[in-house]
Amino acid sequence: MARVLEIRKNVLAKNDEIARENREFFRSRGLTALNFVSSPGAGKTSLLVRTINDMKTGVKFAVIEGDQQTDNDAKKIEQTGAPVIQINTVSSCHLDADMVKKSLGSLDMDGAKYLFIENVGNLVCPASYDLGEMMKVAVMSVTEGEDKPVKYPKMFRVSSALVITKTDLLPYLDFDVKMAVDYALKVNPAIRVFKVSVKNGDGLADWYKFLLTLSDAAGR
Amino acid sequence: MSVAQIVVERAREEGAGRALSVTVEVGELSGVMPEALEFCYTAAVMGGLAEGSRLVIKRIPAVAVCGDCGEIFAPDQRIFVCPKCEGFTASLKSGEELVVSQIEVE
Repeated sequence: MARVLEIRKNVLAKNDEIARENREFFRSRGLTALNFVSSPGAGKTSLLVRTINDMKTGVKFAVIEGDQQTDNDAKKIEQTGAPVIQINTVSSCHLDADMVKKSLGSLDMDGAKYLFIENVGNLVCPASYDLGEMMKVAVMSVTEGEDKPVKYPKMFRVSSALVITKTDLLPYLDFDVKMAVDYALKVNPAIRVFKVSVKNGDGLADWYKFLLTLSDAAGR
Repeated sequence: MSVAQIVVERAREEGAGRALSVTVEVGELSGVMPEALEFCYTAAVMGGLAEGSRLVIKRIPAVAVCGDCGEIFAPDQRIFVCPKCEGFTASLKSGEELVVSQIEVE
């Protein structure tokens, strides 16, 4: 006989459960775990490499690299000396909490203060998957349209910080920084905005200061 | 895939032999396309006890409440500007769901 069962189960419940475990793990180690999200080519890897190189004296980093294929990004991170693990998502367009959890076992995080998780370049799906991070950091370059935040509002709404990269290119572009920031604040009034050039170092000091306040909050 | 997994797990718990229909609530702002969900569903349930079951999609409208004046309104996409006081502090009450709400089994 046919009967109806009430379920009311969130489809992402399993992911969220594992994300909670990850978050607890990061908290217990005093780790500042950040999930970097952007379109492909916004400059996430370059930002991470420069950040690690500039801050690594006395501070340990660990990195998880998410890409559909290749370990090119992991190799770039490796040159900084920071432990890194590459996850190839193959057919998937985002990292999920379980992929991160499984990779934690083989990543050397002893004494690390920061765990940078570089997500797959994609502004849609990664917005829905909690990995257990302290916060998402959206990265957007000045070679993109100013309206990225309103085109992909969910991502900018769930991110706590926005790093606008490649500002050294501004003289050659029509990119309106104020317009981009206004759009971001429109979808997320609380988002913290940083404007940086990894190439010439502009604006990085504020970004580093922000990272330091985060790790103070994480308890070490 | 996750939808299919939830259905199969629950149906097994209940000792059901077969799922006839599955109701999924999809919020307007969940980022989930009903067409895509339908397309994948057939493949995802193949070979299991939910094979051939009917997928019923219930669209959940987006509703936001203004943090400043309490106005309840339907937000335009994700820009939650209150139509009454033009405040930016509104939060979503519904519209982001992706929930398996019920299944019909036998």
